Amino acid sequence: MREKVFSRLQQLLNEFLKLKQAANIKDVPEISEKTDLMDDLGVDSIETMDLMGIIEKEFQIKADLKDIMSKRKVSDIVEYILELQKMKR
Amino acid sequence: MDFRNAEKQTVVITGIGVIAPTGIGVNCLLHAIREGISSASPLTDAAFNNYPVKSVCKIDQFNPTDFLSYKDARHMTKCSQFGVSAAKLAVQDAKLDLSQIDPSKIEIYEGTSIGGMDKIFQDYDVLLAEGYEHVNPHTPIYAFVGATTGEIAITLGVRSRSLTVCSGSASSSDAIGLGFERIRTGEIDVSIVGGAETPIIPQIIASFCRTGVISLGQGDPKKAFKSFTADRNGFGLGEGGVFLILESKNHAQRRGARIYAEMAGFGNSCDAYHMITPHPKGEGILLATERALRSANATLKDVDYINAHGTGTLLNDKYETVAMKKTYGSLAYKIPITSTKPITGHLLGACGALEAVICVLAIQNAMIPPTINFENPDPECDLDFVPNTAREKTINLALSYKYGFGGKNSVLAIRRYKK
Repeated sequence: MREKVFSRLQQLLNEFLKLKQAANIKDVPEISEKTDLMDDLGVDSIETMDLMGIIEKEFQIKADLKDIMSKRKVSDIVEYILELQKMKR
Repeated sequence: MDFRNAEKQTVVITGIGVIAPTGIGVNCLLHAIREGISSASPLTDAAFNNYPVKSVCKIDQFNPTDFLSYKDARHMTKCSQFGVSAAKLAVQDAKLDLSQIDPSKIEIYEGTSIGGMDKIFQDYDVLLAEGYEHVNPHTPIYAFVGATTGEIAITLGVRSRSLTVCSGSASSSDAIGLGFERIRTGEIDVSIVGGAETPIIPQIIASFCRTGVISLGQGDPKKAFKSFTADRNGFGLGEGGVFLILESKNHAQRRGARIYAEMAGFGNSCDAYHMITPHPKGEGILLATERALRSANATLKDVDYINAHGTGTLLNDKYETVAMKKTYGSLAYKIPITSTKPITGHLLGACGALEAVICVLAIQNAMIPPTINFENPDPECDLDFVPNTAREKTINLALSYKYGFGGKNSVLAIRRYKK
C-alpha cells in the first residue's frame, strides 16, 4: 500500500513540477522518499496549497493545511496520506 | 566612519562572467570579436512565423541547471537565470570567497530594460484564455524588473545592497558606474555589476518592427546586421547576461587576485530631448564624456579606442557620429570607433556590461574589434569605424558609450592595468 501511494505521489509531483517550472528546464529531478519539497524542489507555501488540492482529489482525502505545511519530506506526506486514508475507513 | 576626506580608491576588474549569443564564457566572446564572427541565426520559433524579422542573436546552448540548482532555477525567468548564472561565473572567475568579505562591503548592481516581461506576457495570455484562477501567483514576484538582483543576492548571500538600474540600453553601463563609484569613494570593497536581458519575445519584436528600430535580418543572418553603413537598417536583437567583479585595487592585491583592467571612470547624462531620438547636436553625450574623463583623470587625447553604441538605426549612428565630432573635434577622425553589435546583437539593458567586457578584452589583447558587415560607407558617418577586420593596437584607455530610451547617456572609461 505504501509503495503504491509513494509511486502515485511521485508521479503527481513530477507532473506538477513540469507544469510549474521555467519553460527552458526540461527534466524534473529524481524524486525519492527522502526528497525535501522545499530544499530540493523549491516548492513554496503557495504551491503547497495547489498541491494539497491535487493530493486531496487523487487520494480522496481531506487534508489540513497546517498539517500539510509542516510536512517537508515526501515520506512525511506519504505517511500523512496513509494516516488519513486509514481514518476514513 | 567619516568618508568626507577618504582617499579615492583605484577600482579594478577581477572577474568576468559571460552568457551571450557568442557563447558561454569570455573565450567565446574574444574569439567572435577577434575574428569578426556574427552570432546571428535564423529566428525559427513558431511564435514568429508571421513576423518579418528573420534573424536574431539568441543563445541556444544554455541549460539553467548547469549553473543553478533546480529549486532556484525553476521559478526564475530566463532573464534572472542569465543574470544569476553570469554573476556566479564572474565570482568564480575572480576566485572570490564571499565568506571572507565584510558583508557590509559588497554590493550588487544590475541593469535591465524589461526584466522578466516575457513571463508577464505569457501569464497575460493565460489570464485572457483561461481566467484569473489559472494565473501563476508567482509571476509578479519573479518577473518584476528588479527580480534578478533579488535572486543574485539570495544565491550569493550578499546582504548589503542589491539594486536594479533601468535606464534602457544604458542600464548595465549605469549599473557598473554605480558599483564603480561606491568603491571609488571607499564605501565598499567589492561590487558585483552587470546586466541581463531576454527581449526576443513577440511583443517586443512586434513593437520594434513598428518603430523601425530593428533590422528584419532577411537574407544571410551573418551578414544582416550593420552599423554606421549607408545600408544599415536597425539592430539585431540579442539576449544574455554579463557580470563583472569590481574591487578596490587594495582589496584585490591583498587577496592576490588577477586583475584584468582598471575601471577608471564613469559619466552619465540625460538629453532631456526625446524618448527615442538622440539629441541632434550630441549635447548629452558631450557632458557624459566630460564627466567620464574627469572621473578617470584623463583627457580627450588619452582615448585610444571607443566602443560606440552603434545600434545600426538611421538616427543613432548619424547623431552618434555628430556627437563624436562635437566631443572630440579633429581627434574624432583619429580614434578607432567600433560597433560590436553586428557581432553580438543588441542586448538592450545588458549591452553596457557586454561591451564593457569587450573593451577589457580589447585592452588585454591589444586589439580593436571590427565593425563587421561594413561594405557601404555612409558619407554622414565618416569616422574610422575599423571595417570588417580587427586591428592590432595597444590600448591604454577605452571608452564605452551606451544610450537608452529617454535620452539616457552613459560612458565608462576602462584603462589598461599597470602594476
